[in-house]
Amino acid sequence: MSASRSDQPGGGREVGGSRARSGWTLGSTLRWGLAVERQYVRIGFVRKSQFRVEFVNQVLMDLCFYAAFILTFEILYGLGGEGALTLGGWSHEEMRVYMGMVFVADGLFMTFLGQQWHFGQDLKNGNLDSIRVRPGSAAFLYFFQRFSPEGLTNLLFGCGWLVFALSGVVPEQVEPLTLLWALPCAAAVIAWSQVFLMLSYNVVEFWLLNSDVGHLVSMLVTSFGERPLEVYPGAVGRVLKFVLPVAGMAWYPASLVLGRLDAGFALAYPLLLVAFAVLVTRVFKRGLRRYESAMG
Amino acid sequence: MTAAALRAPTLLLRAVAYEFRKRIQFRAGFFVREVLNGTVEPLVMLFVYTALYGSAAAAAGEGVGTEPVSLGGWTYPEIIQYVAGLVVVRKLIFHSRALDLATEIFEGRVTKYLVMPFRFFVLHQGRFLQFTLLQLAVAALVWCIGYAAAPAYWLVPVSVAATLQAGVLVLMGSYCCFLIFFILNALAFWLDVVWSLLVMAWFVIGFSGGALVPVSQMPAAFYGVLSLGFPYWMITAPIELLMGRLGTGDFLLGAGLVAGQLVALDLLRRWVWRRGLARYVGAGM
Amino acid sequence: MSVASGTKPSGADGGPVLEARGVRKVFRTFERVPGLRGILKNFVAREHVDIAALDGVDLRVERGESVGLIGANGAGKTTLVKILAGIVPASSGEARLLGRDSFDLRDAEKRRLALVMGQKSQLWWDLPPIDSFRLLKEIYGVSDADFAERLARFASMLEVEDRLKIQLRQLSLGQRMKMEIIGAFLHSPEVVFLDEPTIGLDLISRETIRRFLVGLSEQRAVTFVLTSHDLEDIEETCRRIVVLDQGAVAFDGGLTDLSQRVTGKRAVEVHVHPNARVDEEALVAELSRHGAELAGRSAGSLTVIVSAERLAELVPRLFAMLDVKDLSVERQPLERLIREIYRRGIDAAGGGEG
Repeated sequence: MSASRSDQPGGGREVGGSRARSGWTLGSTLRWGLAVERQYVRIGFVRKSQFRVEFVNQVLMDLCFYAAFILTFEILYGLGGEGALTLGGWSHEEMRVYMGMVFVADGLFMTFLGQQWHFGQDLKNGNLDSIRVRPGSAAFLYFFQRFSPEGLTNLLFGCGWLVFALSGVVPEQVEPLTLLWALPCAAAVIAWSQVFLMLSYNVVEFWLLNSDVGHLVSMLVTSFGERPLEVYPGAVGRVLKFVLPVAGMAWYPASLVLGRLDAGFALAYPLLLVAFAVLVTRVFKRGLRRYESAMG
Repeated sequence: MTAAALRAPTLLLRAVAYEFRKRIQFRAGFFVREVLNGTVEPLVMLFVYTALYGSAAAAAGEGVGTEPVSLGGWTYPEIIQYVAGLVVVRKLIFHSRALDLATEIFEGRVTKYLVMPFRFFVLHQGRFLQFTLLQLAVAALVWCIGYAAAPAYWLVPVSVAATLQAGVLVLMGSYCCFLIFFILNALAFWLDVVWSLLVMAWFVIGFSGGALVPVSQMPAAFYGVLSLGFPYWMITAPIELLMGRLGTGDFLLGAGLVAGQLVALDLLRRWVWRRGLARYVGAGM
Repeated sequence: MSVASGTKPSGADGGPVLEARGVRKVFRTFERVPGLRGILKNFVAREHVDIAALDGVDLRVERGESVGLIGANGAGKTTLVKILAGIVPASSGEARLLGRDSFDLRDAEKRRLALVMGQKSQLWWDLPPIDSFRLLKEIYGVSDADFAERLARFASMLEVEDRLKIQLRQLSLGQRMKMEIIGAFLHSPEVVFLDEPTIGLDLISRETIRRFLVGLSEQRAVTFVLTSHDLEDIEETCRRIVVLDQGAVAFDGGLTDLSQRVTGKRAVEVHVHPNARVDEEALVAELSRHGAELAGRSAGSLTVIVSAERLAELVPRLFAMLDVKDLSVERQPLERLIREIYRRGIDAAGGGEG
């Protein structure tokens, strides 16, 4: 049997493309990322079609989280009678919008980034070997590999709650037209923040193997970010805005939509998120040098 | 006969030592999982309550702490004490990450235990015992640190009897959690993924027990229903016992309710395990 | 059945495809002290120890070469593969793949590389392999036509056409490994690392996989690095053998070179009466006079290793000294030679032969 032309060494590269020949471009990388993500999505749906009970369980799990969260704040605001209490200056209606952003952030996280829960264990067991030898970003290939249809379902529930919450502030507090640009911007900031915050929690594992420190930091920071930052003392609030910018997860998007930010801060904060992303990515690459796989 | 009777406790103690050894293998992990576990929620709760009571006090024209503004029957200093109590109590509550039975079932690692001459459940009881012993020490340490750092705000039990009563309720509730997590793990005989059930269970237990808001601060309808379940008697009620808001009569009622649920859960655990084992095929081909 | 290789010039730019220069890898761990005091000591004040998995390995592999990497457990085979493939960095020394630092490979190099690990699945455990293959197709940018053609061809060669749509976890070990190999070859790599690809497999699966590897090697100048404990794998698929012993290269040469050493030696199995008295001291002295050595001894038999040239002079002496019931002469098996390499180094094992 003779080898086909495309079966010559490096055949994948030739066909794959153009990318290797013409060098790196943002466009080709995005196309490649989308093609791989499409497969991750497909795989996610194939998996869940096999494990229907798991699908239902995980939808219920997140709904329990949402229910506990909503009930907690409904009870807390209800303690002082209608309209009597605020949380760090956030009224009951505003808090509902804030919760909507939290649910969207959680939905995005659960949909795309569920693999992060396994990172510490995978590092310990040497399960990053195959990712290391493949082309493309190791962080992308690893952390995005577990697309979750149930996360997507819950994202829809979260969006539903957000729409309900916005109906309480539109048009009295927020102009309907403002939502046209503010909501997409808010969604982009949430997605960006979730990805790089997640990466920042996990890089710790490279230095403190199987410590669950990443998990703890993730829980700590996420829990803090799930409440308006004004409830925390000034120093804690500043850390959550500028050091570990968990503010991008819900506080900034909710504040942006509700018109609680001044224009200068609203424009500058995304730049900080970009700088954070660059820093975290570099630290992650450095961390990969500490990966020891598992003894064979 | 005597040897057989001694075998189970001896095995239990060995399991405790073995589990302890496993836990402290990764030092940072030990600190995070066993010492810091359960501290995040109370901390966040503290900030939220401070803001909330600040808002209430401002609405009433007062500053935080200067006037006993009461929300749902709780003043701000009482809520601070509740949060302090919650930090200590949460240490003692068995959490789902402390069991890895589902993984053992998925990977067929249960097989080796099934051919050994003892009850497999004893090993997990050993895990519970090891967890409780270790966490008792951690809880005592946390209480001492908290008291040393903020003696004016920290929760000081009203009496030794109240401390013992609270301890009994927390440990009985913790054993109920252990049984629930064991049962949910055992569902791995049927399901491919059980972690979502474990997380869900904790959301329900935590909320209905008072990990986010004291159950007695909730509206009456919630309180009426939730005070029948063991989570309330595991979290809110013990703290209220320590604060002197509940007395011995409440303790006896709670102990009776929790004991009934504990027995029911244990029966369910046996039934699920037997049924699951009948489906067990190990792993690999 | 050895692979035809070396049909093209070395490396893409004329240099070696793989190169290791003084590669060391040190893992830091701590010694676990037993007992209750030990538990506390392990927790509070650990005594760290450095374990050198590799200790100054030099290796150069040209394009199209098939290299069999063998060694006892813990000899450093897998660590060397992981360093060369860029999975982990070397502690010191230099490892290069396709002319570039292995740990700093760009996507262009990674597209020319593949790794198969016998003990670790790279495919999705609860999905049919075809779904994992489609993902790999996108990761490596393989065209639809090539993907379909290669998948059909490889599945046919490995006899798993009817298993592509069955969940991986429901396949047998052999079928799973074949799927791993298909996944590794879909993007037509130039350099392939196979770390114990036949471990735990039955004879038929092993033969099918070997045939597949040899077939691909004959068609294309793929560079293989194969680690295995099964010397048949190595003999049938590799021309060159590198023996690692305690993190260092104990032997590096062609299979023919090693074979010559094997053929140059004979293992003489002497069966004696179980109750017969053997003066071992005198026997060993006599054997050494003929350049032979006593390699094994049981109640009823002795194994003696001697060079082929001196066999004729030794056999009568054995009959004279021992109450021989039976005697057989065989080539020294490859396993035994490798064992000797581990034990004493190649010079001693070679005994000046070859």
